[in-house]
Parts: sequence; C-alpha cells; structure tokens
Amino acid sequence: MRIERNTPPEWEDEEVTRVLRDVYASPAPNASYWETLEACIMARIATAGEAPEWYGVFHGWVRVGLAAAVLAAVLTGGALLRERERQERLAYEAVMESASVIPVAGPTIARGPSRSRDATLRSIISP
Amino acid sequence: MLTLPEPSAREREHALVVAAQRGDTESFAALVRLHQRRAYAVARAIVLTHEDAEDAVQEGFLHAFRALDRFLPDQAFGAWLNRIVANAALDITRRKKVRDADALADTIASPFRDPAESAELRRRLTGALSTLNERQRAVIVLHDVEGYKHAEIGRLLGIPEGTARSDLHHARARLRQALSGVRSEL
Repeated sequence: MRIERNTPPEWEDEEVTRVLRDVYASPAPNASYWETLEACIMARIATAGEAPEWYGVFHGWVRVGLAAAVLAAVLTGGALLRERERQERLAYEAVMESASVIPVAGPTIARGPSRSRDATLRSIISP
Repeated sequence: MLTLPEPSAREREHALVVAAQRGDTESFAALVRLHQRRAYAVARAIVLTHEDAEDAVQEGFLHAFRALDRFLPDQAFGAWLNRIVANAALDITRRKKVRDADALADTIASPFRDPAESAELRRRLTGALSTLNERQRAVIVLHDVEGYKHAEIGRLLGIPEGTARSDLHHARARLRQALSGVRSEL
C-alpha cells in the first residue's frame, strides 16, 4: 500500500534546493584543484599571447617599411586615377571642339535641286 | 608616527586591474585567484558538466584578458568577468546542445558528491533538470545554489528581472514535481 504524504510546497522547495546544491557542489574544499585551474588559465593566456597576429611576425622596421609601401601604393593609385580622369577630360574636350567646325548638311544646301524635283513631280501628277 | 590605513579589498582589486592592464601577468594571476571560484560557480550553473564549466572559466578569463584594456577599472571587475564567463558558458551550451540525461548522470558521479544521498532522488532531479531549457536551469542554480538575486541573474544572463523570476518559478515547479513523485514512491 502506497502512503501519500501531503507536504507543503516550502518543504518541497527546500528539498529541491538541497539536492540541487548537492548536484552542483563546486570543488571548493579542494585547494589543489584551484591551483591547477589557475595554472591552466594562465598557461592558456600565455599560449594565446605567444600566438602572433598576422602582422606580428614582422620586426619593427619591417612593419614601418610595409606601412610606407602601403602608403606609397595608395598615393600612386590616387595619382594614376587623377591622371586618367585628366586624360579623359582632355579627350572629351578635343572631340567637342572638333564637332563644332564640321559643316552641317542642312536644308539650305539641298534647297535648289529639291525645287526642280518638286516641279517635275507636279507636272507628272497633274491631270 | 602616521600609519596609512590598510587598503580595502576593492582598492587592492583596483590596483591589480590597473597593473594587469599595464601588462603585469602576475597581477592578472592574482585576479584569477580572487575570482575563479565564483566564475566556476557561474559557469557550472549554465553548462551540464564539470568539464564544460572548466572550459567556460578558462575561455572567460582568456576573453577578459584580451578585453582588459577596454575595462574601466572603477567598475566591479567580478561582475564584468562573470558576465564574460556566463557568455562563454552559454556559447559552449549552444555549441554542444547536450540534452541527454545520461550526460547529467555522469556529472553526478564526480568526487564532490555526498555518497549517502538517495540515488533515486538525484536521478529524478537530474532527469527533470535536463527537461529545462538552459536559461531556466541557469536561473534556478544561480538563485538556489549560488544565492544570486533575480536582478543580478538578469544582468548576468542578459535577461529582464521579470523573466528571471518567471524562469525560476517554472523551473522550481518542474523540479518539485519530479521530487514529489519520488517521495510518494519511496
């Protein structure tokens, strides 16, 4: 026969807490454990500190040289870009200037022959 | 003769942080000694195994060391560190997504347990713990085992205080139900 016990929620909460504390007990009394963990943490930090960043493999003067080279490349690129724009502008202006002196084949030149053609056409189609 | 008063714990910690920020690793090691137990407790509340808690603590301290130059020494170092450790623990939990009750059973077999405790009670409780989501589990452990307040848990896990309170209520109800079943059967 099973005996059902009516226990208040507060008691049940206390029991939950008690078992939780047991399950999640930290290794607090174990001093050597903490010394080992500290050593592991510091070793990991030391290893991470030794792992060089990609730019860290160069010596100081090489880094200065690299920085100067990057700056020079940027300046050269900028100068090349400006020169290209100047060339394009000159070419455009040259085309526009030459276009303004080309004679235009307009209706004033074609007016004479057109009049005679119109007269011929009228004489043909007139009844 | 005028004697200077002893520096408080907060002042000593401040001095250690400033020295560590200047690159003194011995000072950082002293900070590790001061805070590793609390950091472990925070991590252990979030992950499922003792080994994952150790990993989270190590990762947390490593992140903190790397971000040390961004830390303002006037703030509480412990609170800042524990947030980093909590994030590291949450990352580990998300990566692993271990929800297997067997994994929890392994953690109980660690040498820090009371052998006289009812195995059935713990088995049921750990089974019920595995049904909680990671946040509910972290909230109830941080509250009931580590003694954090709702607001502190909220800050630590990056959730509102009300959410921490609600998570605690639901988690406790679930665990209470698991244990009451055991009591009626034994």
